[in-house]
Amino acid sequence: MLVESLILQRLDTVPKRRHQDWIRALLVQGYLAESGMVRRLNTTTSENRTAQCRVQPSPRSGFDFSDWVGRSPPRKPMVTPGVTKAVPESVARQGGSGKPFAHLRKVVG
Amino acid sequence: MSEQRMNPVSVGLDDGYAFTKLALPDGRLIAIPSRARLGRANVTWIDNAEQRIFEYETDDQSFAVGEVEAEPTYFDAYPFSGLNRAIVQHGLQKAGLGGHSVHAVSGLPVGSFYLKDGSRREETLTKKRDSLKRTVRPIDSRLPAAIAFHEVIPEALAAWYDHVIAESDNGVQLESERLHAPVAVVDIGGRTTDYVVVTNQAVLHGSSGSLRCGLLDVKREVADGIRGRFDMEAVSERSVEEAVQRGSVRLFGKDHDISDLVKTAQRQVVERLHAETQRQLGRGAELERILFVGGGAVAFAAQIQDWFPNQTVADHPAFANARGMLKYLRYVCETPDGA
Repeated sequence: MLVESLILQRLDTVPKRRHQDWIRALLVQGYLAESGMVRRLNTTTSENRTAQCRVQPSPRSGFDFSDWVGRSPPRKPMVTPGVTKAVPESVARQGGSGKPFAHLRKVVG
Repeated sequence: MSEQRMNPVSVGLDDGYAFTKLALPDGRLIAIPSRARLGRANVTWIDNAEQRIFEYETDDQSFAVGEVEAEPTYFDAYPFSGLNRAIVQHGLQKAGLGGHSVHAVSGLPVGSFYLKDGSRREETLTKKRDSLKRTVRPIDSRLPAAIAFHEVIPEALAAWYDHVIAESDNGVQLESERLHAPVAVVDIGGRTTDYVVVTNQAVLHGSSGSLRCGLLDVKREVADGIRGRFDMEAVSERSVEEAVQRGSVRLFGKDHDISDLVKTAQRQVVERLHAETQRQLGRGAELERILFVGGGAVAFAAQIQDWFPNQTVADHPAFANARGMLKYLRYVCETPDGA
């Protein structure tokens, strides 16, 4: 419930016209996080006795899609990653969405 | 669908009336002529490697993009049209983004973005934002590129973002001395020339706006000149394009020198631009810099070089807006994933 409440709070801060995009992005992020976790579990299973004892998700449990992604090639950027490196603190300010120069949105008006 | 395809690709998308320019996060800059026509091309390509016309379908209409006898793009509804969507889709395909989800920032001329009082034309912006998110399907085996997120900013202001946000191998940073200095951007495009003055991170709307004059006016003037000189009722858009580039036109099996028509057309357009630029910016004495961008900054480089003592031309000026749109998307814009 806490997570749900956090999500709803965050959704409230997003303009209405962005709701659909935001929810779609949230689903994609959750999906990627889930697949990353499954991959990590698969990697550690052979090395970690505790992990070996965990019940693996059933192929029919509704998590099939994660396993499918888990089999896909390792995640790599299609193009140069959109990372922000070494942003000088004097100029980089965090906006609501975490963009380093979000404060420059106000220029557009 | 692979995970790679699930990750949206960021694109700066300057979908101009003359050329559509794309800036990609890997540094690639791609330009295609905004050249398309309604209807299918009905051409069978013997060698697919030589295919020069590509077909797309959107809203139950077919469009042929590429080396076709193009329809004019200089109509008011172009930014929201199927013609625009087909050309943009073709640009995304050229960038190898078929089958990918795309996050894009594009632009509208300053005069289409803002009302006179500086408030935004929200209805127009929503129309443009929604238009490019509509499905466009290649009429062949290629997968479409799907624009999942799309934001719109004023075109010349995109070049300002390009001017103040610097990317390098060490990361990204703001050019603080540029951030607060009064700067004018003059964006000479295909159909319009945009002016935007930014000082202390605010747009001065009194000195900003759009003039309906650009590179395509040269083509139109030359087309009129050819029709008059050779007593023709119509001349094809492809012939005019070549005539502007070569200074001659091939008619009745012979080359005819029309360089005087091209020079006259260029001079008329440049004079009009010069007068309007002076009206908007005066002598620009209190501006730290006057930055010229857009395809016109290249095409008219010789004619505009001494307009202001404090002027500069952006690097690869035709791509300044597209680069700025990409930077806005990556470092400024509110996106659904915050990425």
